Amino acid sequence: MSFFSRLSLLLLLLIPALSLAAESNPRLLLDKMSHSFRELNYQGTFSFQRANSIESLRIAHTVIDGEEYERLEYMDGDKREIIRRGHNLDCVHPGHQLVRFYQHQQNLKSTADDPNSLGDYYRFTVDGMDRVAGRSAINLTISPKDTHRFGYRLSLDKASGLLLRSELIGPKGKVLERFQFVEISFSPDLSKEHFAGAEESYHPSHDAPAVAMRSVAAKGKNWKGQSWKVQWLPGGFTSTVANQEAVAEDDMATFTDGMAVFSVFLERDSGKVKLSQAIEGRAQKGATTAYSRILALSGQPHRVTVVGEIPAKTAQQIARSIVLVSR
Amino acid sequence: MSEHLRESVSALMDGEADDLELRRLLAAENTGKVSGSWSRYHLVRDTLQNPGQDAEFRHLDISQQISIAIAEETETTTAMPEQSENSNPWWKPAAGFAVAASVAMVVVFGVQTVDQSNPTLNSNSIAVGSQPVTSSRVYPVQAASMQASSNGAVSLSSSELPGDAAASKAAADLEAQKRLDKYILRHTERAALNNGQGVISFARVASFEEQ
Repeated sequence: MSFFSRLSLLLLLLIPALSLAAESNPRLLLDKMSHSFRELNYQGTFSFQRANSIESLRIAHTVIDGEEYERLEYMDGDKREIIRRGHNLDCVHPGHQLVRFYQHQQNLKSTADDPNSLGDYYRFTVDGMDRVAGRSAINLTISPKDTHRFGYRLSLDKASGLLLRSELIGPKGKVLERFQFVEISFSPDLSKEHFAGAEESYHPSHDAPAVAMRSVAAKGKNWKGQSWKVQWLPGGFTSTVANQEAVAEDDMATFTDGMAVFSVFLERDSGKVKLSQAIEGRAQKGATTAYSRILALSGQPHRVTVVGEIPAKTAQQIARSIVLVSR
Repeated sequence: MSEHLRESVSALMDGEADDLELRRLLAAENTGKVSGSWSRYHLVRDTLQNPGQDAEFRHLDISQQISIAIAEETETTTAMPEQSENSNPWWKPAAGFAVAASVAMVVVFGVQTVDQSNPTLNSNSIAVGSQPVTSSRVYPVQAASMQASSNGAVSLSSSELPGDAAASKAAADLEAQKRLDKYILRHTERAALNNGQGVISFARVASFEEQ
């Protein structure tokens, strides 16, 4: 028997061992998480806490004919609900690709050379077992390696990989927001009618990764022959629109590192604001930062706003790096 | 007096108020109600913390005398041009405007939290006696805290301050709030598709309106 055939035999023997290791491999867990919340049928109630406010929400999620149906109801205060329908399971956005690609990389054992690997920006550790919403869960800690992103403490359902609890950790270990299922049931019998929704319910728009580019051309009429660019991005962040390379023709550009997402908005000011009133504003709500300032681009006042689950200083740095590029 | 101001009073009392809140309180139109809340909150706290002690001094309000004493002292030392009606000697007008303009964004942000999370407390103006002491500190400052930085970028000459500053500022604030709400919603839609934690993104939106 040659050396190579012995090696391949050894590899064959190793494969079952690898799949057993999935439970303790944080990267495989994360991959499972990114699949489960879209592909499974579940119904439950969760609480969402940030700073000192806490809200309860009910979620129902089901897949019918390969399309997602989701209904999110706010249980406190005014009656509100968010309905999402018809998102095709095959439609995978760059953020998920980052997470899923990860598993792919693991199998190929080539983590080192890809610049956009999650592992370059986060440290992953499995912290044993826990119990959340009556189900056994695996704890996963994700800590950032730089100051441009927050950390996470996740509890994933042992059986399905679904995210049952999530804590977003800011600097000095401060919990910025907490999401936690109170009760959850899998495989509820839900028909399309369940997701019909009341008239007042909100239906979010959905930009498919490829289609977004085309719709941009129509929307971008305010940017006569000009587009803009975010010159500085924190490491690991890529555009959520495929192949866009940080040049935006719309008034909005969104970036993700697979865990965190932020959006940059640029608005040419209507002229009411004088450049001398270069006021900057910053708001923080839980983990969500909003940073806004007036910038002079080509001598014109423009309002740049950065919104996302990133530290305020990072948002500020991003906003300052906006430039106009002519085509 | 708004819930937000009450919240600020409470924060100040707990030593948790930042500069902006302090300025907002000092700039509040109805100073009588602000100081009224201030003393009521103290009364509640003192009563709860030391029941039965020092009760004989509680009715005394020496703030008037102190104010008069301070005013007399100021008159004798330095003249304060263009500051006489405002009587906030440490508050520079240029920085003040920048701060006020940015604060507006917060207020809006904050009010939303308040409205969404605890509507029952909004109309309750008297927080003394029947309510537990925590009611004076219901809303965390951090939830709506906002900082205006004036790092050299702020350069306002007085001629640019419009005559009816308050009115135009209020309009600008409303505009800023709407813009921010819209931005946050649009961001959320994309975030939900990209962060692998879908549901959480939408839970982050406190309110949403269809355009």
